[in-house]
Amino acid sequence: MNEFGEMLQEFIHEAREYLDAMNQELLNLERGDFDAVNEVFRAVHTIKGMAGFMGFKNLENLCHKLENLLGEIRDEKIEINSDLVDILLKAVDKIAEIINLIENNKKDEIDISDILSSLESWKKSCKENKTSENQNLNLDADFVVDIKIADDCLMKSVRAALVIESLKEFCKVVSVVPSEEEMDSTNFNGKFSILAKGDCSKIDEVLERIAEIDSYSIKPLSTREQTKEPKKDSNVIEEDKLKIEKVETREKEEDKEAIPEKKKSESVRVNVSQLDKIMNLVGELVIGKGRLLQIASQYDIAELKEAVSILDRAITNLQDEVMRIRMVKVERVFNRFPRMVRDLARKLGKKVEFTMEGLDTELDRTVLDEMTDPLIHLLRNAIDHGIESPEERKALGKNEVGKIKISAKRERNNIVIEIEDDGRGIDLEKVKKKAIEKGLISESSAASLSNEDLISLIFLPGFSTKDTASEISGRGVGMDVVKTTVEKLGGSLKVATKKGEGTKIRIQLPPTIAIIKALLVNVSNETYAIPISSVVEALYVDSTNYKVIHGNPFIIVRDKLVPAFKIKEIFGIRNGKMEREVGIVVEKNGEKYALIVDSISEQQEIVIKPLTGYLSKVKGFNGITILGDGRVVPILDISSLIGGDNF
Amino acid sequence: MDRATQVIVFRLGDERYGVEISQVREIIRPTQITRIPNAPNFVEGVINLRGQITTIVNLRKRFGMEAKPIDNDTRIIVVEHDNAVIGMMVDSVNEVKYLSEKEIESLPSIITSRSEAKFLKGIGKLPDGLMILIDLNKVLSDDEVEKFRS
Repeated sequence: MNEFGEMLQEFIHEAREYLDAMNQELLNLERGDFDAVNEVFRAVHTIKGMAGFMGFKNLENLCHKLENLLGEIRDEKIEINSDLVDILLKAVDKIAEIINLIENNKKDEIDISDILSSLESWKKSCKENKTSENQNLNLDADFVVDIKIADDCLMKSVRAALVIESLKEFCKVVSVVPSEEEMDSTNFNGKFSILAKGDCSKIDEVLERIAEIDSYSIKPLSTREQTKEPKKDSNVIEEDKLKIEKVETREKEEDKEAIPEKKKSESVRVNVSQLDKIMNLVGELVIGKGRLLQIASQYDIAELKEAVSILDRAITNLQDEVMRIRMVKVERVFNRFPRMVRDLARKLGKKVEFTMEGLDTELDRTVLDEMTDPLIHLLRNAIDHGIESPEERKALGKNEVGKIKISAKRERNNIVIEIEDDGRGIDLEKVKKKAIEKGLISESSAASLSNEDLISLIFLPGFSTKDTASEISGRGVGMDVVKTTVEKLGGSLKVATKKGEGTKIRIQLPPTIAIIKALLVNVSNETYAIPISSVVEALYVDSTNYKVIHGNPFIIVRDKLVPAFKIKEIFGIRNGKMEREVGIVVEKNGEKYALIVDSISEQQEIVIKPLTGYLSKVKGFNGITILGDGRVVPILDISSLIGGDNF
Repeated sequence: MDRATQVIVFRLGDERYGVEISQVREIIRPTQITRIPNAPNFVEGVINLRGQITTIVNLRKRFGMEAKPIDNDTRIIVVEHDNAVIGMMVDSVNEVKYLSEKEIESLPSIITSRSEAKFLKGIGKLPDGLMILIDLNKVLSDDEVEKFRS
């Protein structure tokens, strides 16, 4: 039972991968890349095979029907258009739905009659001219193999499919009688014939390998011999082999589904939760290392210090390696975007050319997962609010087809994701009006707002320029959520927009988040950690550079006023006045702020542990960490700490 | 045979309370608690419980009672709830009792629907008096926290 569970997991994983590929390839197909149909075909075929093996009849059936339709497309009997792709995509969605169902209930019982009938009806439209071509194909075969599968074989059709697949490895299967379809549906008795072209010398060897075959015979076809008459037997085979090899290479693209296995990749599948566990253990190691370092310096033991330094190096390497394992290509998430963009654009009657760049840029899995919804939201916005309708674009003298681009790249220590469109841009006047209407700003203050200030209004909770929240954008994930997610991950977000020319959103993210360098600061008898990445500098604060202007405290850093925040006051820590305090200058969205603390104790590598339960909604913290000496220290989150009260 | 429930009996002020032993992981003495600013008022802070960050809830504050400084009798009952480990700070832990089904009386809804009594599950009748059985799910669930705060 357990083994079955594992197999099921594997099946679900793999099926999902194939589904991703299918979505991708179907879009390529729509764009005119005819070879894509082979990729899709191969994927469907594999899922079908797996489903059959796992006993998911419904899924198998659906795949089978889909495969048939794809077969017709491949044989160029059906013209490809967007409506057809729609139906194919719907079928893919259905498969995805079934996979989800299987994951949750281990069952695939779901109504698929709708999708089956739409697949069927497409196929019927081309049924007429099918028969004659089939005849032609028959003439093209070199030999026929009659096979009888053992009576006690349980799944004869699957066994037959296996035989056919095996033969495809070295020769071209032209036709199967009865057809694979008939084998599945009617009471298949185990007898079938394969018409094939190519090298028949290995058939014996292959068929011997397959269990449960009762008997088989190979007969060369006379039609073939007529055309090839002058050749002698052995030569024919030799010659043919050469020829076939050439044909095979030429036909590689077209015949991909016949290649049994993709090239072996040197990787193993690891469960995400296991990876997380390893990550946690490495985190514990880092904590333990910290403790040892502390003991070593406390007691000043040279030998221990040396041993710890070796351990330190190993742990650092281990940590780097685990971090690298956690990195995934943005491709993993980006891959679903083309499909989404296409569907949405079609629904809204807009024409969009969608491009993606930097697909192999790597990002920590957690960061990427967290970013998925925000990115989807931004793309939706670009299509829904950004890109104009084709008519509007034409009238404006723009290309009818709008452009949306998403790109990812590494910039120094950060990952930068940009979403760009050439639509109408953000209408700042409209933003202003809306904000006043919603009471987010007052009319008088609105006049003095700069363009940047106006753009930042769209990130306020409860802001949306569309009057009615459409089904597309406005599903609760607002721009404010996009912003908070990015900031929670330690990143930042910038919007550049030009009316009539488009919008560009730039998201900067740290590639990894779990272990960071932090500054430990003391406030009264409490300790807090500040991520080094947001710290610009630290300086002493006394009466000479600390000023209160109109009730707001500032510190003067090189003749510039920097708004200051007293941690003591923010956190309600009661303590007498210190003579000299320390100002930590931090940066948030390009602005500088100073946090005033009592002193800095040290700089340390810390492992971020999330705040859970009651504490998950507490503002001002990013997480929590355990230091080498066992102390628990909260990690300050600059953006929610400063943004919380002021914005 | 009567199904018996084993409960841990603890004290808050003058009242005796009970929590089912199956939900309790361990009972510890208070260690150094790190305060988390801006947390709900009944959250005392977090502790490092053998490498695991554990949130400490002051049950007195949770039940709307007056807080009391930590003393020698103060204990933390560590429970597992919803995959999270949470410590409940109580005045003292006294004993473990067996309660048979007939010794437990459920409360009428007129009482449990009142906000200050919503954590109560029933009343345990012991030879030496009554004991309030608490409903951990209600004490620790997030929805309740939301309602509590608003």
